[in-house]
Amino acid sequence: MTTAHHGALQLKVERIEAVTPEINRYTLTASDGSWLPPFSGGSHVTVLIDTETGTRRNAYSLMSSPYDASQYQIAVRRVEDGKGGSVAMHGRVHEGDVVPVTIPANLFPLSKHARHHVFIAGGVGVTPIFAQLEELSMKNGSFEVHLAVRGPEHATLGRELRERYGDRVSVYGDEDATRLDIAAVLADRPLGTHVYVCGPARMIDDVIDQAHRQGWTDANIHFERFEDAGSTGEPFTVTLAKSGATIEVSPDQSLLEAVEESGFKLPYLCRGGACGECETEVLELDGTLDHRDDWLSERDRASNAIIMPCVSRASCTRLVINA
Amino acid sequence: MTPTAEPTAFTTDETYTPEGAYTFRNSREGVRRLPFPFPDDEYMYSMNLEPHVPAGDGAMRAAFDIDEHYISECHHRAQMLEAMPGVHYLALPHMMEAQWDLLELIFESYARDYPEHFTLTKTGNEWHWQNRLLGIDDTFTFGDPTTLPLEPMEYATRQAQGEFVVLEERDNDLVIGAGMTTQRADYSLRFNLGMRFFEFHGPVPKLHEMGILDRALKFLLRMKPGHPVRRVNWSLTVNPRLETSVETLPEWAPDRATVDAENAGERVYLRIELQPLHRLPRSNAIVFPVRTYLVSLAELVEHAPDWAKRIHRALASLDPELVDYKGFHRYHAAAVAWLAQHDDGAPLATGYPWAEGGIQPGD
Amino acid sequence: MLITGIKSRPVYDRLAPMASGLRHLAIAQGSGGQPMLRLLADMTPAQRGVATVVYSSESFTGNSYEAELRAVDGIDLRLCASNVEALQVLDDLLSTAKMGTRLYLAGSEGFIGTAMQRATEYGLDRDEILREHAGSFVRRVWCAHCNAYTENVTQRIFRCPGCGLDLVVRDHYSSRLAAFQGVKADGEVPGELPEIEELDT
Repeated sequence: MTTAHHGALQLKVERIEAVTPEINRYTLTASDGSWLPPFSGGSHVTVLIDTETGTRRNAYSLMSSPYDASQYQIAVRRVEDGKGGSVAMHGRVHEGDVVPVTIPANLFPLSKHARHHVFIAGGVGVTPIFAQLEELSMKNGSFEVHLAVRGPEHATLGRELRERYGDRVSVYGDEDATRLDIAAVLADRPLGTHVYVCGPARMIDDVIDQAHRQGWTDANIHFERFEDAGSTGEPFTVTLAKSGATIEVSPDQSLLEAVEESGFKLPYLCRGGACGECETEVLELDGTLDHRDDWLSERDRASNAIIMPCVSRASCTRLVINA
Repeated sequence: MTPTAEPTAFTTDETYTPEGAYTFRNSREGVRRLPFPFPDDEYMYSMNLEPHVPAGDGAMRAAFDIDEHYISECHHRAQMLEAMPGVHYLALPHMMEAQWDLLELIFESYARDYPEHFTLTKTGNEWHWQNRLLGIDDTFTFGDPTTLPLEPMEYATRQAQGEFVVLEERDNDLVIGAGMTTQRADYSLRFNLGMRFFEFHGPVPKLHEMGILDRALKFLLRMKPGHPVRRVNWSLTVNPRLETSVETLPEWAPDRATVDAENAGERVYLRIELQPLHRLPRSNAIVFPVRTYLVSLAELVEHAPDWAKRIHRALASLDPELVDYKGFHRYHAAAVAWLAQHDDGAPLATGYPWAEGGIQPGD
Repeated sequence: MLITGIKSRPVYDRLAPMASGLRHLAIAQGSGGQPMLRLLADMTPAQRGVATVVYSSESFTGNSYEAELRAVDGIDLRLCASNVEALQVLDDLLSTAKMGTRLYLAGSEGFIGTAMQRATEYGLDRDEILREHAGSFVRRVWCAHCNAYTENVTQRIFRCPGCGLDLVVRDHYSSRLAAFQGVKADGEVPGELPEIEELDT
């Protein structure tokens, strides 16, 4: 197995393919030809992207087969008004380059107890489903996919899935301009059905809302928010208790990014406020915390004693964290 | 410490059963490489978890230790599985992913740590596995159970020393989903399958009250692939019998009544359990291997006199509740009396033998 | 209510309508009729209109709530003479049930445990089910030596009808088998039995 250097794998960009006007698919292999760490369907890696304004850490779902340890594949949608990571992936990364990539982690795993799996995705949100279907089809699991796209030129990935899995895959918004009806997709499902949604925030919220209306409980609803959860805002200052360092967090970066840019380390996994890995103790606060994560309970938030630096911010004159 | 060990002389026909006349024996080297589990004169129950990193050239050198008994133990496993089908190996249907994970972990570890005995070659997901100790040479498609003669976990663990329990993570808890347990100590896999963490630890005294289990569960749930941890545990047993399940209790429990202060040295065996826990990458399951070592009290005295002194003191001061739970109240006094003859009371080093400055076997 | 130190025994709930459900499936046995009647009384008429109730009048204590259940208006009631029959009806209902169904179980530990096994097979999650124990805490016991199950065990030591061994009932419960564990009581010295005692039924 290839070894991690400073916690990151050094992977070679073997191939870059344009799959839609906005999305490139990257095939990555170990730069020394060894085996890559195994992963499960739904996993993501964080790519450390070198941009003109510093290193960006973007999370991308793995879309290659979990049974093939020789390569990873990710799809990157170019976001013009983002922080520059995806633009650099499209513009600055070339075949043959070596990029640092973290070991895979899975915050969107398949339920092992489902009797039927229903996937709902929008656009590039289809990527984790590729690996999940590889896993399910090897196990003869029962599944279906509902993918909404913005027109035929964006339907390439959906068509690939249709070629592999036939009628179990429905693509909406390709040539026939059909529309995805979430309520109808979820209606009258047998017991033990699980739904997975990956796409824009509005699609995720719709699926959760419709499933609740139809009496589904949260244990059967799975989602991954792949877009930026919104970690930008007013600038503030943070002090790291262990080193005494004082760091300015600018409007366009998260607390976690600012700390990293200053050469310090915090634990992280999802960088989207979901996994709990970066949970950090607040030692002093003169002001208010702006919690933006999905991790902390209401009680945790009210305590003002914990913060998730990957997404949350503060409006304060003084903030000291236990880092 | 050197990373390579002396070549092991494998015994091939030892038995662990009364029918086979219990021919199991340890060599001197075999005793002195054991993961001896008593760091102090007084034994304290604890979770004693530590990172599972290679240490020394004994049982802690490899990710999954094999020793001179490897071939005999694999034969014993095959016999037990044949004698009682559906009792010693079980896997719930949703554990197939974890089964592949476990096969991969064992085979990759064996091939890396014992290249002279095992070779694993991958071409995409076409795998070629060679086990020269058991004379196995197979190719199969990783992830496709139809290409193996047995389920992946059974296939792999029939070629591995120790038992393996796989825990599925569900709702922030760990649930027993599969097991290869031909060596289990007084429990039933059929009964325990599907149990949650607190349920299967239910019968262990004091754990709940001490809050040990809460902390252990939280710790295990935070485990990540590539960062295994280990602990050692121990018990006593009568005769070198590996299979002491609840199911066969009528066969082995009467042995407990045959021990006296004269024969305890030969009859009573220390049963050491080395448990290297790993998070599995695809299934997110945790494998709980129990690598069991048997050594008689007499073998300890002969080959590892300082360890014999240490176990004498640890047993003599053991909490009666633990004596009951571990099931040797009937011969505890006899074992202590026999060991007392070989303990001069000299001070002993503290710490595990694989740790720096820890207790060594003695000469 | 049984509170013991047995860590593996299920913790039971009190039945109450689960408002998030679109359909309600309730199954009870013997004394479980009582919590079932209370549950139905707590439901709105609309909830009762989408409720199916399965009741088995088989009982260890002899309590039957069949007449009272018949008197409840507006429910789909299926009466069964035995627990086996009731569990078969449950199985049939689960096989066609849809997401949004809530399941309510009431009765003896063995009955609830067996019904839970069916529910789990159909993929129902713990947060879609409520279970309330009713009646005597007699135990269902699995023999580790011959695989036989014995219902309604009340003594710590009993003779296994499967293999004839005297078994001691351990305070250890398996949800998968829906039973306590029985092992040979005089394992170490034949004939030397532990003290006979009433189980905490």
